[in-house]
Amino acid sequence: MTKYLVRRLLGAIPLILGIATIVFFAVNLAPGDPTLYYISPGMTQEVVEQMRVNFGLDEPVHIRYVKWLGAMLTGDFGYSFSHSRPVLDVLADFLPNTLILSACALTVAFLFGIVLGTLQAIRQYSFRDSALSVVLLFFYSMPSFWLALMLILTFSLFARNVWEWPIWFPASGMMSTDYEFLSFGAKVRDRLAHLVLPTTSLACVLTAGIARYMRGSMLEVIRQDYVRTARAKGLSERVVVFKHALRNALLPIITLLGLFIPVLFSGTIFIETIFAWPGMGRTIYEAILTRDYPVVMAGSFFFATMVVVANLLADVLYAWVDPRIRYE
Amino acid sequence: MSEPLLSVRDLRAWFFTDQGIAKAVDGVSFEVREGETLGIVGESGCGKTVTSLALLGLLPEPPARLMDGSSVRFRGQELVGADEKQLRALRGNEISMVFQEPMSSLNPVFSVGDQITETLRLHRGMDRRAARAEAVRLLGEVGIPEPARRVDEYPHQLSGGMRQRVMIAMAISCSPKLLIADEPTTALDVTIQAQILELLAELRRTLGMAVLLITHDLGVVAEVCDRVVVMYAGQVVETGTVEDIFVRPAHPYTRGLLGSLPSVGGAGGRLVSIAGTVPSPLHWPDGCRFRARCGLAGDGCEAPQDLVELGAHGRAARCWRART
Amino acid sequence: MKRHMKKSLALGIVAVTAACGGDGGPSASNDPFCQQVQPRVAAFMERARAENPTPSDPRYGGTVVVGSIGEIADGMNSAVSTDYSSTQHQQFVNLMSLINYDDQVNARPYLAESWELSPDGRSITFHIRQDIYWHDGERTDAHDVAFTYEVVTDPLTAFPNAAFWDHYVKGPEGVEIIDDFTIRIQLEPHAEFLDPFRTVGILPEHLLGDVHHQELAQHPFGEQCPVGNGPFVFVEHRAQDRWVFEANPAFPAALGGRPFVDRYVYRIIPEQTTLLTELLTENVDVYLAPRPDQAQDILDEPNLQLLAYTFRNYIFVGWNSRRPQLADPRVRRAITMATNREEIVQATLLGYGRVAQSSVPPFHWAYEQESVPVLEYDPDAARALLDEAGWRDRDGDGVRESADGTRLSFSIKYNTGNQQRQDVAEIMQSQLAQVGVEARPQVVEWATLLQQINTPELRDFDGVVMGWVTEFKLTDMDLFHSARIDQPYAWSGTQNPELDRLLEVLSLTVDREEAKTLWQEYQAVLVEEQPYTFFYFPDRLDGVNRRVQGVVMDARGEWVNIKDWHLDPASR
Repeated sequence: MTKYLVRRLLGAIPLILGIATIVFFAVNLAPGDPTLYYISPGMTQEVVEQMRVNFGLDEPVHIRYVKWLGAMLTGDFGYSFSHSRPVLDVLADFLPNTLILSACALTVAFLFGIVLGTLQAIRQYSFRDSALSVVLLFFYSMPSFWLALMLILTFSLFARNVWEWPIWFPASGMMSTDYEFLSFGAKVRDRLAHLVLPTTSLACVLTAGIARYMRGSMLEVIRQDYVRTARAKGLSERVVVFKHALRNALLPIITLLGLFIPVLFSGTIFIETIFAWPGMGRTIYEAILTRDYPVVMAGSFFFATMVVVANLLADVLYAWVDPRIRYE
Repeated sequence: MSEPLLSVRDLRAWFFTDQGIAKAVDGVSFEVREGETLGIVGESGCGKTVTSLALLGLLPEPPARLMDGSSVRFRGQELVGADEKQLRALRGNEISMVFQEPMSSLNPVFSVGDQITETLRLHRGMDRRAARAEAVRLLGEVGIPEPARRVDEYPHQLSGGMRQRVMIAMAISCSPKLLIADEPTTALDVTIQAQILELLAELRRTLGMAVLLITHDLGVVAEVCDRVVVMYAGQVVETGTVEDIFVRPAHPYTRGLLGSLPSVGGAGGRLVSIAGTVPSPLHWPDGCRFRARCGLAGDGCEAPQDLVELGAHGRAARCWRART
Repeated sequence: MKRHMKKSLALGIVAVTAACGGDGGPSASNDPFCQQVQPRVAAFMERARAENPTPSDPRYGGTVVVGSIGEIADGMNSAVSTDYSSTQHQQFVNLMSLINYDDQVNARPYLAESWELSPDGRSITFHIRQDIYWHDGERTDAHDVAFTYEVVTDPLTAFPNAAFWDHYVKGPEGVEIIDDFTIRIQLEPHAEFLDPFRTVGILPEHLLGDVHHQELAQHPFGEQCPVGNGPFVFVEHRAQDRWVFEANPAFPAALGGRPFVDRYVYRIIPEQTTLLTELLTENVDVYLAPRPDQAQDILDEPNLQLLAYTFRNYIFVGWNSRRPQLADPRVRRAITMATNREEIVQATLLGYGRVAQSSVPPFHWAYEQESVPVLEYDPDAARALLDEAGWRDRDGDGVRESADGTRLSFSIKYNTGNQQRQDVAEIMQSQLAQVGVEARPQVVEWATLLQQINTPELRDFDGVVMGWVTEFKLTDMDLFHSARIDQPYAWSGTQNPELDRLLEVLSLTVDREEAKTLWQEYQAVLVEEQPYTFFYFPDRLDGVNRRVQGVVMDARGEWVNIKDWHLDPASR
């Protein structure tokens, strides 16, 4: 097991470096550069050149690459042009926000997906199964950003202004404007309230996918002989399904975890923009538009690393859950 | 005579499918007495496995259904239509089952010890440590070497024979009165088969439990069973002691089965097989269901056949010719 | 059992992370400069609060929240700012500029108490107020002004609006400190010479004086810990999320005293539907620049009001006259005549805008409705003009050709993410087709487009839909003067000696009346030359919750009187 882990980790390093290199060249060779945003009347070419020098863009690409690589290996990710701060600080600000959102969405998606899929499987072809299938297909087909806007309109605007419900959710942000003045309990509630809509938007599509997989997996497992044995031992249906069947049905779902993590990160760009969530997805997107090279490169690098780590985790989790893999 | 341990009367398990009603078990009756080993014999498709599952209510209720009039009495308690809770109290406890494929019948993600202790903790209320100790003891009792080490291993780490022993250990863990064994040795090779059968016989002696052994292998029947029930096309076609069946088979089907046994020391002639195949349970033939394959088919065979009593202790056969 | 456990575990994790993770945020910057500065600001605020208790007037108090789709891109760093939000906050919120404009676009004192122009017009002397303090306690004086002037006129700083100082003597030679509160600046007489001093916020010399000018752009002062001297004190900036300011209790009574509101929060919400929802659910008090199609939603809501006014930007299609099809001004005039601009205003702006005939905005003192020559929408006249210019449809394919076979066909580029510009390009395409001109709309990513049109060697475009923000000091020098033809903004490649002459004269004409006449002449020549098809001046829209009272917004900017905004006490 340890050997397996070590081998995987070592294999991940060239992968990440390769990604970093590709990102560097893709970004730096794209037309346009950060000075474009500062060009204004009266600015001569000399001024533009001066700006370039100030940004460190006057050197040829391959020199910049080597310098960047060297700096990165020592933990120096450079300075962000548009934020005027070290890139590491920028990442430290935004990355946790994205992680919170992704983690919540993943948790919700897996929980609901697993439960719904199981409920469908144990009553295959029942009304419940068909109804859920239709509903889940709907959510699976919806683009997350459309769903996000619909949720905002429903649970923020209409809920408050039109239907006057007692509970409605804020349409954007991570916390309200008077957050600092709230009591601790109120702060937690405030944070959670702001999490609801973005998490739901992100999680809906995933939940539908996971439920589908879970249903299929569970259907297969329920037919297995060992489920029959479990029943023959006198165990309650609950235990049979949620202990004996579920654990086996979860195995393919775990591999999904590794697959879904990158999907989750790319999906956050839309959600972060719509909900004004100050996260990494939005930051990288805007950094691309403004040609803020250091941020784009560092951000992509971190994303790539996280994807690799997530896949690694999925593999480890799989081995932990399935003893047959463990003892190979 | 004391009341039988298990009394099955007119058991009908029908499957309601899109293609029609499959009457897999269509009026089966037999008894199992305390401590005896009853064998149910027949070709695949005759309904013997369905019968065994129906006893414990393990058939999936849609599409299967136990039709009105079916009765399964265990120690005086009617099981057909009984509350699920009552059935669960019996399963694994007073009535256990052992299945055919030990690899797929054991849960691959739990250790064998876990799977055994599960029943112990459920039915005997043992705590984890006591259950584990008992599991180790049981593994020893079924002949697994180094049980203390094996108890934490996973099914895929054991050989086929050992897995079946584990299944047996699981089944006997709560000292059941009746053990239903559905083709317990079919998936194993011959030498292991013998060992398992021996184990079963020994356990029978030490635990005093009755065994309902379902098999298509007459050799096994001959070795282990006291009495035999022969099934064909969802019905019982003959019952009797082992001696009755082997020496004086009354039903043409039974004779056919025996005839197809290779005999050691025989002349090495061709094996006689029964012509034709088992009909589909969706369309049992009218009249005697064996008629199409019976060498002795004649005028009295167009009518559906009743069981003909041939002697004491339930000796009977479903053929009008048996009287003669 | 397991399921419940998993659920509660998940909720637990969520709650914990929600409570702690991300709460720290960037408000406490770990840059050494900021760590030095912040305690001093805190101390100043304590003193200021103690020495200036809040008056009992009920208008004081509360928090006002402004929502916008964009960040304050350059923060409070006036040395490197070009972004509208940034300059607004530097002028009106956190810093102070020397002068302001009243609603007639006349200069009035702000940081400068008074000023005199020397008789020969070659130097201007400013007298700085003596009661303005930086938010760390230091007094604002002439040294700050001199420092700021030197910084913005130094090419090393790369101050984006370098054109401001065209006729000023740049660098330390151009500024002289007479005494602590008096400063003299050298210049050549030119039009609207005071305008730059309205936009540029004065920077603190005692905090930034030691910084190399080329490093100013990256200095944490701009976005992490600005220290101003204006009516609002910087509290925190969470990047991409919000800026928080609070009222400066020590702001001098002579300038109106402290702002009425206690706190001002600027929130960044990039998606306009979300921003509208926040306005409608009263999480945000002001929605800056909603789209025209959102205006009705705001009007329908009784507790909201819609402010609409002519602003300083216009949309146009710039023609690259270096291209053979577009070299002839007659062709360009014909194109304009073939375009129904009024219809486009109705269609794309829902009526919130005015057709533009030239680069002079309608609110400007130089603008006179009657005397502006207009190219009316007249497809027949357009066809006639094209015929006259030698473009006819010789092969019957619906598109005109010149005598040598060049087709009158070109692309109109526009940037991604802007529906209005796309609409303009596409409507033009269909209208030009009526007169035998083939226009092909082409969408290009913003930064790439900028590179294509700004790079003198490239100029890779035929027509481009663009916007332009005019300052109060109107100058089209960079756009149309032939001497600047190799600078980034010379998109049209215009070389018209009459235009050159007028541009030069106008830039030096100080007297507004004199200038007016020249502006009429200029506009006439401009219309004749048609380097651009000027489209419209879109109205600036703002959605404001009625609980915020006293809000004035016009061409000077949205924050022009933020000091005077006050909240209805019942709503707090």
